[in-house]
Amino acid sequence: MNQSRPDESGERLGDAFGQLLESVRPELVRFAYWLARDRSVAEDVVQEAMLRAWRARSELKDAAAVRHWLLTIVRREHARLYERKRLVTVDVSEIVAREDIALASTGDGPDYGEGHVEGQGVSNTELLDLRRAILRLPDDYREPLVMQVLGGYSTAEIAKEMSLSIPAVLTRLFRARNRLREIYGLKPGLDCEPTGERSLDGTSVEGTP
Amino acid sequence: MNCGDVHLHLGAEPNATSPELEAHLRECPECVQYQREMLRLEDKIRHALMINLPAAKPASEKPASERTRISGYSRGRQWALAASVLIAVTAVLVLWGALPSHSLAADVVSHVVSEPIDGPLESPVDEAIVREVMERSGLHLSPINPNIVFIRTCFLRGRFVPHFVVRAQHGTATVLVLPDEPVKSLEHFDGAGYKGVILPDAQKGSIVVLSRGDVDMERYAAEIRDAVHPIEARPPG
Repeated sequence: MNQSRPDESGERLGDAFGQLLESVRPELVRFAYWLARDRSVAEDVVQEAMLRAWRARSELKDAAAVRHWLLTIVRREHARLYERKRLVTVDVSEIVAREDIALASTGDGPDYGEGHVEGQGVSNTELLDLRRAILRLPDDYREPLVMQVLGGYSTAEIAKEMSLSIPAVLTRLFRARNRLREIYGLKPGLDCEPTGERSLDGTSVEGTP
Repeated sequence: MNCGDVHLHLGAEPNATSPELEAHLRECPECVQYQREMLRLEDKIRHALMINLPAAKPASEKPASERTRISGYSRGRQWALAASVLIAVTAVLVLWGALPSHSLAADVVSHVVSEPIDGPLESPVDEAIVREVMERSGLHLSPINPNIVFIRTCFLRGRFVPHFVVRAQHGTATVLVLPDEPVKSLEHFDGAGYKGVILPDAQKGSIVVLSRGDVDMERYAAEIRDAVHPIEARPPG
């Protein structure tokens, strides 16, 4: 995609950008879903984010960066939603039960390419349990995990986006994965003392046991 | 680096690598086991997150009775939020000097593992696409012997850089051309199942080649280094 070719009409450029947005929409909805834990809210967030992206499309200088740019807009739109409206439904069991149909999806997303072992040995039951466990993670743990694994953000980028220090992000990512280890009966990593709050940033995190 | 540090770093970034980490892993079978568990878990998490969502009505189109209950912030909550932001900002400033430094090799491996690549990685990429990607970073690439089977621009360490995959005789190798990442001399690294080399280029940057296969990375790194030029220094012809 080259937005700045002077010989093309604005309308044609708009069409191309619209098609690009539509092509990445499923990925954006997936990302928003794991942030919001609600398919309908995810749709709203993506709809609003796409509108913002459309308005700001002239700011996109590099086509190769479009995915990251859009994911960041989605993440900020989601954060904005939570600043505007405080969602008070906190019963995680309700959320998990409501989302079980989506969670049971077989997930045939794109190939991860070199470096990925293609979901080896993951049964549907195991996948469902893991998805439920991810949904149960506190926002403060789930959000950086999703940004890192699904969005491909580096730790530094997550820290910048979430206005945290890098050590704080590392601590949250560590604790998120520590909780997910539990469903496999694996021993927690050494930092995770049940009552200890040893963290690199010295702050306590929502839902820390 | 002790076992707690290793667990913390691998728990946060299972694909991370650094000389200190690798040195510890050579001496500590328990941490090697922890790393294996974390890498297996990481694959499963990645798989679990790749969910296909059935279509849903946007919340804004649902009747009010079906919407998630919403309440506004109270004034007290706003003050609490402001205070927590102030504390967070202070913490960031205090901790700024203590941030861990991440090696170039660690960042490269983390990038390669976390960036999905679509496609069969068999057919050579069209020359025009190679040219376009290289030019985005102000570079030109003369023809090289191994076929480039994938190429794109990636964002790494604050720069847009060419990231490509070449098909060698015994597998594929990933190449990153980093015009703004100088290294003093040839560096080898090993982590997360990858072996790689970082080679200083002729200007002020470096060429990284890494692979999980049996690939002569030094040879390819040298060949690519000789083939990459800034556009303004492009050889005639």
